[in-house]
Amino acid sequence: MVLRLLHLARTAAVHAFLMLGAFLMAYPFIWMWRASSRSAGEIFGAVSNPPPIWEAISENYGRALFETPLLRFMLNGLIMTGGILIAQILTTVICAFALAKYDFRGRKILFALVLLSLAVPAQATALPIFIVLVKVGLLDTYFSMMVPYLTSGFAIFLFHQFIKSFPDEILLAARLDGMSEIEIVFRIVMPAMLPAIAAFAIFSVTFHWNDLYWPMIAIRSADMAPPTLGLLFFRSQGGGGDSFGPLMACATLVTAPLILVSLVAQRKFVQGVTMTGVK
Amino acid sequence: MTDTMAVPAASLPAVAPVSQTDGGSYRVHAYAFSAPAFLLLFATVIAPVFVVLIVSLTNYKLGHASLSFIGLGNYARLLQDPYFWNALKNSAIYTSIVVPISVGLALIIAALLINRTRSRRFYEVIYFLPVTSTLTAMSIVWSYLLNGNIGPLAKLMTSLGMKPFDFLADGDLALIGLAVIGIWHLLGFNLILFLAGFTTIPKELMDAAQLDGIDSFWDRLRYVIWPLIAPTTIVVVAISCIQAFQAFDTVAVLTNGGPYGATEMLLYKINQDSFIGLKAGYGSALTVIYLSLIGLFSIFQILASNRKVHF
Amino acid sequence: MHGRGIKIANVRKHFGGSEILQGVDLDIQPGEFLTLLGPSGCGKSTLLRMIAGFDQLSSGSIHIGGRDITQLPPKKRDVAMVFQSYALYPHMTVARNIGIPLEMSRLSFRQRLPGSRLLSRHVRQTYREIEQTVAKVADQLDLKHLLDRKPAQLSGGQRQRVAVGRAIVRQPSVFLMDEPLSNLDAKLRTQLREEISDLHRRSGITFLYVTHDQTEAMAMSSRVALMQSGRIVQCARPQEIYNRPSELAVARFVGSVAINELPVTVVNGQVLLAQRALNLRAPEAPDGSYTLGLRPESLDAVPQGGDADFTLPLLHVEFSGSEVTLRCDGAALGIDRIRIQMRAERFDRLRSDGGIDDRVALRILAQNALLFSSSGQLMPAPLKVAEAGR
Repeated sequence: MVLRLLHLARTAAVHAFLMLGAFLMAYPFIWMWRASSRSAGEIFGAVSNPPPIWEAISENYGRALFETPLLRFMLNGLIMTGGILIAQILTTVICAFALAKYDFRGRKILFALVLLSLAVPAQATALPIFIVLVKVGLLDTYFSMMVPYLTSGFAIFLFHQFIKSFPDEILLAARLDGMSEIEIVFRIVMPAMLPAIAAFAIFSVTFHWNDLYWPMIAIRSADMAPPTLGLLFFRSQGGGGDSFGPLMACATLVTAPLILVSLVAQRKFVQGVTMTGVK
Repeated sequence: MTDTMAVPAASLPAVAPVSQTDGGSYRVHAYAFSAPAFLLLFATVIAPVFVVLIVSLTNYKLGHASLSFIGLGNYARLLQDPYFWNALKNSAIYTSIVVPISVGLALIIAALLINRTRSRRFYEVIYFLPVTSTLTAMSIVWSYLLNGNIGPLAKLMTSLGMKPFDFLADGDLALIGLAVIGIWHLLGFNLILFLAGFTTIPKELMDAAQLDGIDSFWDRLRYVIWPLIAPTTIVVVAISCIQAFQAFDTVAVLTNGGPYGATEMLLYKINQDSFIGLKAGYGSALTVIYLSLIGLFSIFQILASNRKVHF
Repeated sequence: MHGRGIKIANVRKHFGGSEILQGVDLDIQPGEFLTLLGPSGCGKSTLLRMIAGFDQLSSGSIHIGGRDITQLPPKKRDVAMVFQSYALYPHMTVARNIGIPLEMSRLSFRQRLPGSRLLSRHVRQTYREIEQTVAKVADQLDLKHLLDRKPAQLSGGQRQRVAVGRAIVRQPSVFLMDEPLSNLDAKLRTQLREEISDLHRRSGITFLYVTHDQTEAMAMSSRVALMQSGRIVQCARPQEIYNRPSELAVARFVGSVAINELPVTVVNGQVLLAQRALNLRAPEAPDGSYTLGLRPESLDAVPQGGDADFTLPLLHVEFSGSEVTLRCDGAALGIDRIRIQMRAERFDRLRSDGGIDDRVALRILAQNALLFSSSGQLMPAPLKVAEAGR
């Protein structure tokens, strides 16, 4: 009996600790949502007669959606992340296939380059790419947003590991059936590696949707800004207490898509985002 | 479909044995398939690295037509630049706060979570939320949370009769304020890495440990979990160091390096010198330093992930 | 070391909607070697893990040596266990692996902190005693030269022995083993089987052994408890399990060559196969359909044209040293194959004097024949040879 009580007390203490941590983790989100669903005066204390919550929500979100270029930012973000993802998948899958399943001169060197590129952070290559973009006059375009990320050494490495373990016999059988090599890649190999592609896609979209560094360099006009940069533009214009509610509504809307996806497809998401870490 | 199956393999000398060994008939395919990725990789990663190396030896300024080689001049200047040392120091302090706390807490939380079968998913989801969130947006939120007048912590301290911290405006506290956000952002990521590492500890081993009397939390951590998780820990530490040295969003959104350079970290300084100050040569030298640091951590990480030995 | 008895009373385990253990009762005598035998998923490992204390019971109780241990943590149950994967600590030496249970039970948390050895003579003394005990155990198990190695540097058999060492060092009164030989090759398995039997005889403690390998179970145990879908179907000595299986399912599971199952009917105590009377009576069985279970050695090849029960085409002969297994076409009897086993000399004799050519005449040995009801229960009354004049 005493043992049982002790066990119970210990479990309770563990949960209390974990819950406290969870609360601190979630608090900024809770605060953000509350701030976006209230009138400004109410947040910072001194309003005796707060308007009903629905009114504040429609006010703040309405202004965020229709009086700010938020939708434009989100569209830019969508085009950027989508474009990057498609380009990455198209270039890396076939390349990984070539590295994994053909033996050709230079294969080892190419693979070494892939591994080397894994150690180069994107910020280190920003300056030369920026200089070239300025020279050819392509700064402040969708292309400039995507260009450093059109392929990914990480994706090549990841897909290579996957395709390497794909049985050769199936490829031989497909060749016997008269399939061309490119068909083999897209009709045989790619369907089998959909889970890996999905995990990478989540990783890629998360990274680029949240990226601020490169857009700050490549984008100059608010029209072209992705959500992160857009938020900064918006904040520097507004500033005052009046636009606080809409600012929080914007922040909520920018954060929401990834949060929602991560709640729905948590396993996949964790797998995708942590791929950088394990194996 | 079926009639090809009936053909004995021996009668197909030309087609069958090619895949791994003889590159001959697929050489064209191999080059064609790998060309797009490699041209891009070369243009966006390999070549720029070399360009940075070369530019770091020049006095190139963006927008200027001419440049001349000045050897290691930029590096010599860098060693005497108090702002560089300040940025490096700030990055180091930030890292030495963020990494131990986020790694240590993640390890403890992961060790507490492995035995929770039902609630584990719930905690995983919550702790992981900050990782996926848009840091730019959340930084704006944090700017209010850490504010010395309207922030909840400040209110709490005021109500307790203490003088509230004004994290981001106070030169002594600003870096700590950013580190708090850094820990918040990184903790869930490290937690997930540790949980993944824990799945490599066999369940039977944990059972055996219970039977042998290793059944309290700290004993389990000391005799079983910690030694077996050591390679994972090195990976997590390396990744955390990389993340910490890449801290940029919070600086750019919250402090712009201020007050008075108190939060100017390496990556932010690179960004300022290269793209605002337009000093491409000097910025490149800074980038080379940054690149070597990150490269060093990456090598640690790769070595540790290939490591099978326990210690 | 002294073995203690285990009393398992009405133990149930639900998990989700399914019932993994459906009320298990088992009384294990002190010093007994009892094997839980069954196919994978039958609940035998779950039962073992409950006795060790890793899994909670949904209901029921477990007593060891008269003490209710149902709620005790594993280390207080006075049991030791050898795991299927051996579960050795990969980062510790063999000596440390064997000694860790002693270290944990004899030293407090504070005494185990690094450096305490330098500060306290008592701690030093205890570590020395542990070392001596470990050395003694290692000597018994022929591990002395391996004490400084890590598990990764050992062969499968050596690892198994280290796992045994870690278990016996605590001098438990009950020894649990979860398929400890399944990761080894066949030859080593036979050798270690003998070692485990020796260990049991020497130590006199109670062994509870889990396996899905019926040969292992038959060879080592004093009793076998056969489990199927969460309940114990039969618990008896190996000979009895083999010769008098309580259910058809048991009969199917036990025996290295599968039992022959013939669909028969009984009319007035006479056993009929494919409308023909066999040389067999079941005097106490009511009329109806039954399954006649015949072990391969319960069929005897006889000279053709004699008093055979049936004559079948011979398909295949398989030699395995001293024994020969014949496979015959059973189509005439309404089944696929009939398997017969006999001594090799007997087979040679029959073959040379024409008793076996491409057909074999077979007679049922009544005393070993088993009659199962249509629901698979063994009919308790033994079968008899039919009186002359059928």
